[in-house]
Amino acid sequence: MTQAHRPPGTGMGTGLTVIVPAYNEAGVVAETIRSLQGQTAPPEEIIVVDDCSTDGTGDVARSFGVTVVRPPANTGSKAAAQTFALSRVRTPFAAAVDADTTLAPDALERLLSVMEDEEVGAACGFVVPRRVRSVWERGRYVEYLFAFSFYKQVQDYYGRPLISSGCLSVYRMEALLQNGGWSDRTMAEDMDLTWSFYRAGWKVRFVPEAFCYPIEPYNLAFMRKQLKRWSHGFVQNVRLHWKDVARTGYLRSVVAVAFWDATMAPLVYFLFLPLLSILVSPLFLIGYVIDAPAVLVPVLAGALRRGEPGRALLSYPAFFVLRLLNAAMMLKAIFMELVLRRPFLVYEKGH
Amino acid sequence: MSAGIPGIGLGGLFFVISALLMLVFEIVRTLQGRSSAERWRVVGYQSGLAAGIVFVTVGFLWLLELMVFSQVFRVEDVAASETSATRTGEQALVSAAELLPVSAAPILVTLVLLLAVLCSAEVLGWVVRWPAKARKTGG
Repeated sequence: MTQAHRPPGTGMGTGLTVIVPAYNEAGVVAETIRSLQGQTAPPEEIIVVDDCSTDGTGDVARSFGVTVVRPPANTGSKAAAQTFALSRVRTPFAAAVDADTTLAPDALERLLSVMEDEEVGAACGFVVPRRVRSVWERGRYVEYLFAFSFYKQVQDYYGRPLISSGCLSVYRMEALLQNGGWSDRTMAEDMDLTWSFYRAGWKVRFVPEAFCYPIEPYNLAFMRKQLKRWSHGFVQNVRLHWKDVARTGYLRSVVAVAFWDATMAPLVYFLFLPLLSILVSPLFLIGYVIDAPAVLVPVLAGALRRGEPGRALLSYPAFFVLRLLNAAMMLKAIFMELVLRRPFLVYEKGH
Repeated sequence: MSAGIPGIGLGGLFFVISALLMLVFEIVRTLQGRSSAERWRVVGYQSGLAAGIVFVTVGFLWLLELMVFSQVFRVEDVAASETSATRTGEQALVSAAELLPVSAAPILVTLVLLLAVLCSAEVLGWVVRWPAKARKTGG
């Protein structure tokens, strides 16, 4: 295909194909495609996987001149939809971008720059919620500012980011094909893939300058669906990969600490602190916010870099609300997965 | 606390220590000629954040101690009632712990828990790797 006949916003020479899994995303997929076509390093092909949508998602995508593929039946998960498109990729790199996620204009260029190291199998960027209005979006905004300004950069220094985020990651095709694409054996296919890459000897990088902007759950119902996937996915991945994780330096420590923290948090928030505050002293209620100043440091540092300190301060209280919901969902996931041995396997879309 | 994964501070302390250790590792890399200005920029920023977290946490707990805990939990000066000649090592340890600010308790408990979790993870890693090593050496 000559330059003149290629769809707008597709570039020769980047060696990148972008896969966009989409199920009933007609309202948001246009913005995503526009942001992909406006990249400083535009992908050679954009493939939208219209996963048997009923709202005309495929037609919207087609109107932008991108490739639209449609499986014979709904694949049932984001992982399966992405893997469905994998056989069509002819470039050395593939990116997975959620249908509700827009990218900063230089995001792909920055991610591709670290892929020049041939040992790097995947690279991910800094995630910031596109809309910050409801309490849930605000809580998530603070959570992301904290995690991506601090934790993830430290993990990257030690060569072991915990997850190459599913909403935007660039992958080396060789590594992806070795793994058979994305697996739907867990509810967190991005964590599964990241830990599988480590097992196979690939590096994973976090690029803090590569920004992407997903739409986060704006109400409790959507947030519960997303957290259900994430919490069950985390427990499922720990069960699935624990031996390989235990063999992998630093990741072993990160996962052990995260798992212990996640297990203890519900007990502390819903049992120990209430009991102690009733039986011993109400001062134990301070325990719910005792880390508030510590959390504020990376959050404000991240927000200042983005010129958003006001938004971060306004959103800050919502973080403590979301944290309680995280703990409740994690408690349920651990109980279902590890005690009752009833794994959650049905993918429920909810942003 | 990663996004969606709740925590009680163990992760926070772990990453603060990890970030501060980056300074040590980067000095070693610099001496070996394997560092760069870009790497130092990252290390400086992250260890600065970690130092900031330590600073505000200590400050917050000190304020709590000053304004709240010291009014409620009045620690008796047990040291004054004991003569050093009659104190065993264990008693001295207990006395020292009692003299610590009440607000230091969360940090100490978290530190002990963190060490226990990290040690358990290392033991698990060793156990998981051990059979493979033993097979290779015919053990």
